[in-house]
Amino acid sequence: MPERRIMILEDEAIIAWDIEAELQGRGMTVVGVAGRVADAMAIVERGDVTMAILDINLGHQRSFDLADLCRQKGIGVVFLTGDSGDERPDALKSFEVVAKPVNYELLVQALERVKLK
Amino acid sequence: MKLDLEHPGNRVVPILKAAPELLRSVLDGVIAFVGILTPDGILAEANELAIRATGLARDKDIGRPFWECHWWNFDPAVQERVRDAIRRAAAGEQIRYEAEIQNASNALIVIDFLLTPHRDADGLVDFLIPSGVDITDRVRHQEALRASHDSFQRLVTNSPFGIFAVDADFRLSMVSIGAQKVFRNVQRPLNGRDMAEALRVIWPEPFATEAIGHFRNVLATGVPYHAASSVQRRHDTSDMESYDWKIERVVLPDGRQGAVCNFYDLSESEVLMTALRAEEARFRGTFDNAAVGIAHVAPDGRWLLVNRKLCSIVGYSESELLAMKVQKLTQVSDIAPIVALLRKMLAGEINEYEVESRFAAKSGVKVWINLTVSCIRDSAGKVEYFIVVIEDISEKRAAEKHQKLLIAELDHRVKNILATVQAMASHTMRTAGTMGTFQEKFTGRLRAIAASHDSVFQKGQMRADLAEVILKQLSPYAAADNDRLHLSGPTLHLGAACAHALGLITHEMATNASKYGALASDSGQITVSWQPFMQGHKCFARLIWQEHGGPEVVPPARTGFGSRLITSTLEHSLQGTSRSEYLPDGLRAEFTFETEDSEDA
Repeated sequence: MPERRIMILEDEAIIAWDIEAELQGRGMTVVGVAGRVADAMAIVERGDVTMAILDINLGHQRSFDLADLCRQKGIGVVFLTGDSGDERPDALKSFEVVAKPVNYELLVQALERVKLK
Repeated sequence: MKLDLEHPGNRVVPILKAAPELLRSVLDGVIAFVGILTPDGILAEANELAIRATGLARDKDIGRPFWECHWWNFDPAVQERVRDAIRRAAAGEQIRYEAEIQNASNALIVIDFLLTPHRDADGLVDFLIPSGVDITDRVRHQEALRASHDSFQRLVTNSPFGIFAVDADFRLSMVSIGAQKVFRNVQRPLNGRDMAEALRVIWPEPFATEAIGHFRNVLATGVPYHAASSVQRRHDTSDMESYDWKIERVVLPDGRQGAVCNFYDLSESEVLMTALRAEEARFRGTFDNAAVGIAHVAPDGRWLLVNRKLCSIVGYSESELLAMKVQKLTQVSDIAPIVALLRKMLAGEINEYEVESRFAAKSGVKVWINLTVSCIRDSAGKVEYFIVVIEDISEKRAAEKHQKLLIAELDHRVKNILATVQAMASHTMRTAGTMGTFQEKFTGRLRAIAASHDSVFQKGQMRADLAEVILKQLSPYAAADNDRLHLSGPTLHLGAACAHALGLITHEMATNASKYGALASDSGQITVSWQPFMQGHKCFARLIWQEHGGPEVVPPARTGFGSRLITSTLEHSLQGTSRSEYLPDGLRAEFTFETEDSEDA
């Protein structure tokens, strides 16, 4: 079973940092933290990421294109969102969504359900 | 006819002897009654017609006084009149009158009776020639004609319609009851009144003269005249009156040609028309100035009537719309529900419906409209036309969309703040040794978030003033009006995310200063200065935090939570940088950060 190497995309620094700390505290490996889609894209292209936690709503941007790239690369995705509605395109409906503020137990369970290729 | 008699004189026999057979046969072939009387009235001869048709008997009546024969003997007065005529004729006078006589079957007939004296060469009356032509039919026809003329006159005179006749002398001869009103100011009696005079009483010049000309022309030529609608102000009353009038030439009862004018008073209908026109103008005014589009539409979809607002909504001119059907504009979306509603209306199941739909404007833009359709039905319930009210709701739709966006944005922000608070709590938890420390630090940071939130939301523009954001974080430690705090820099607006981040950064800087830096002593001062700059197309600011006059500066042994929060926030969220120096006089920190909420944060 491949190792879970996690990348976090979250524009709010404190939240990104907290997620990283909480996951590391639970023994998970965080290999990258990005605040912008472009930065996250660069981390994904690096090739060592196997799972991505993507905040959907990044101010003026959405992370769906990145999620689609992840899907093509076989990278598992868990979405985070503070929004009430479900904006996910149909192609990305198979990826789970965890609500913000984050219940870390639920986030970890969702991450563990992701089947790695 | 002249009798050529051989022997003049007043004796009968020589005359008769002298009458040639030819003459006798001529007289017998005449359709008139012809006879010969002696001057004293003895019937000497009569032609065959007189004898056959009038009941005279040659053997019985010839030689008898004329007045005693069958013709006259039914009435002594009639007989007396004949005797008198004979006496006068014998005296040389020619007598003529319409006489009633009885014929062979004892029926009375009317004859044009002529009694002519004949004179001999000496000028003496030698015999009398009575003659008569049966004019019974003619008299009857005349009577019938007179009767029919009387009826005609009665009909005309009693007619409620406007009819009058002008005779050959250009005088009014008949005026109907219905025409009296027109002649109300013409002197009585109307019959016999000069038509030109009457017309000049009623109408002003030049119309009176024109009208007189029309009457005279019809009288002279027989060409009828017709004016479908002439509107004139009367000379006598100054009222506006309007007539449809016609003049034709006819033969009047006097046997001469005259002109009959019949007319129809349009004035009443003019009043109605004026009222209708006013009504129409009111309707038009309302229709055209309505703030919503209004139209009448035929059952097949043709536009029958459109107002200006509708034209402006769809971008077509009135003439363009009237040449097309509604269907052309509705082919933008699924119109099945509208069609279904229309069918129901045509079937009489519903009388009105309202639906939001889209119309394709001429420009190609799809306009959101609120469509209200009702209909006018005929007496059988069949739809004559639809009344369509069209309200442009594009702006309303856009406002609703904008509102939805705002609500979504608010939703996002609230959840983000809660997530930030959650993260703040867990960070604080990880670094705080005791619950007391946690409470103090967490509450301070919560207040910092709330303060920046105030700055952002107070002006209702989701933006905050940089100086205000900094001041709010520092105010618990130092009043702005004392000497310990110096802020300098141009007015700079921050996006909401930036304001929140900078608020937290300032909060961490301030708490640090109050514990270890300039605010830890009574004499320490803080100077905060900033300057905007551009990086690419983005607005940035450089902010310098300088402490001096505080306690002795001791650089920290390890990187605390505060400084890590500052660094990560600037670098991660604001695309900025952070640099700190522990100078002998105090801490000097230099931050750069993007001031607007980045488009690709």
